[in-house]
Amino acid sequence: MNTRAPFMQRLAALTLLTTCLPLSSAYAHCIVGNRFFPATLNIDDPCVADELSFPTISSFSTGDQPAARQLDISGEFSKRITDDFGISVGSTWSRISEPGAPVAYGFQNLETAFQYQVVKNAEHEFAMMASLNIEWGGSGAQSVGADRFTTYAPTINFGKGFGDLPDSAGWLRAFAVTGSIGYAIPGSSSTTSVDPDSGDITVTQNPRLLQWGGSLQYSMPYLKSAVIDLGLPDVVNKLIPIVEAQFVTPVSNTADSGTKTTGTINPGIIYVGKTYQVGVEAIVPINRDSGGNVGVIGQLHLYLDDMFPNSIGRPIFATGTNTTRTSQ
Amino acid sequence: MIGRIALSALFLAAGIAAASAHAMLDHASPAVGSTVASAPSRLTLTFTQPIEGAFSGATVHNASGQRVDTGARVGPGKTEMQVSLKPIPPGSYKVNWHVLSVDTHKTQGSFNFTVGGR
Repeated sequence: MNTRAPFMQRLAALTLLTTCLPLSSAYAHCIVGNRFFPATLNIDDPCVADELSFPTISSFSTGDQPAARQLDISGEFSKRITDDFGISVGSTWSRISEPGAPVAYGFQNLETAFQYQVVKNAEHEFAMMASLNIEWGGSGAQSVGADRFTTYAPTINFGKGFGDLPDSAGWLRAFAVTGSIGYAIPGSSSTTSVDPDSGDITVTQNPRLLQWGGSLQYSMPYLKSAVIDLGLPDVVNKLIPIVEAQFVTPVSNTADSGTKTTGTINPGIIYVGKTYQVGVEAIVPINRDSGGNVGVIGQLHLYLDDMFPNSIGRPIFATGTNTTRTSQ
Repeated sequence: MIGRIALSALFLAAGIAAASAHAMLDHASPAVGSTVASAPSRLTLTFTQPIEGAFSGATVHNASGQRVDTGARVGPGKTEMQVSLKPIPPGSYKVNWHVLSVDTHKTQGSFNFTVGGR
């Protein structure tokens, strides 16, 4: 007997959201020509790098009816193997408070990413990275929505600074955009579960997901060092106001999930120090299925290549000088 | 517990912040994007970190692409680069710099300045 219980639908909704959020915990930073792309909090940015994001803390409400409150604490370590190839490992601990239900907590599935730097073009401040993100099924707690199946997500990330606009564009040249588009393929097309009380069998279709998003950022460091030095206070010259957006659209095998797009738009700000950055953003759901109200996310991000340039901060098989933030 | 770990990570970052990092342009004279009344005889670039003089340099070109500098050298403090200029008429000038920081990171950049208020 196949039933599709509301619980499984809620779990599927949670899974959609947590599938989206862990992807967002893959971070990178880079310099391409004049342009420094900071590590963004919700989508990946376009460079392979040696870095550590810890902690990333977010608090938001889920798209369930009624909404559950979710607290995520995550970390991710990224390591270059060669100048252009790197891997990353990340994990997220979640605490979910659903009205009328016991609090659930535990780790989400372990995530890894294999990343390759496809392009870095200094003149046009353009970078592109290809990656294969893998969420390892069964490595997390089902109580917080961790899937029992592995998901593979080939993904392209790109970034483009507008510094190559004519000089007459002036302050507009400090703008940059980044983007990310991935296709998440579940290792299993459906998940079967048995209710321990009733014995009912539930089969849930696991959709294939288009994961997409981007950011619009205005770099005060760029404005000062490449456009015009306004003599502003040092702290202002290290800020990057940013708006990130991330979306998930089920595109096939959608019998249970439907095809509605969920996601969030995240306005915030990043402070860039010499060896670290700190960022904080609001999490604004785009519709009710994406969340009940506004949440918040904050992150401390460490540039290991700057902190430990001669040890863990450089590629294992480096071809020359440390080039992570070099423009060529 | 998690809070303590986060705090430790923050202190670790703050503590190492002064140790090393990529060398970025902190400021320049004439200033980035500025207009100066009279032509300078030299340009000074100040970086956020010490740099290696042997692997660092800068060039200055006028609006028609002709080079107007006569060479660059890094000062004893290793954070300043002096670029000597030929006598230059009013106009717009583009500076291209590249440096290797003492911890072996390469960076580069460019900016404009204007002489004579054109």
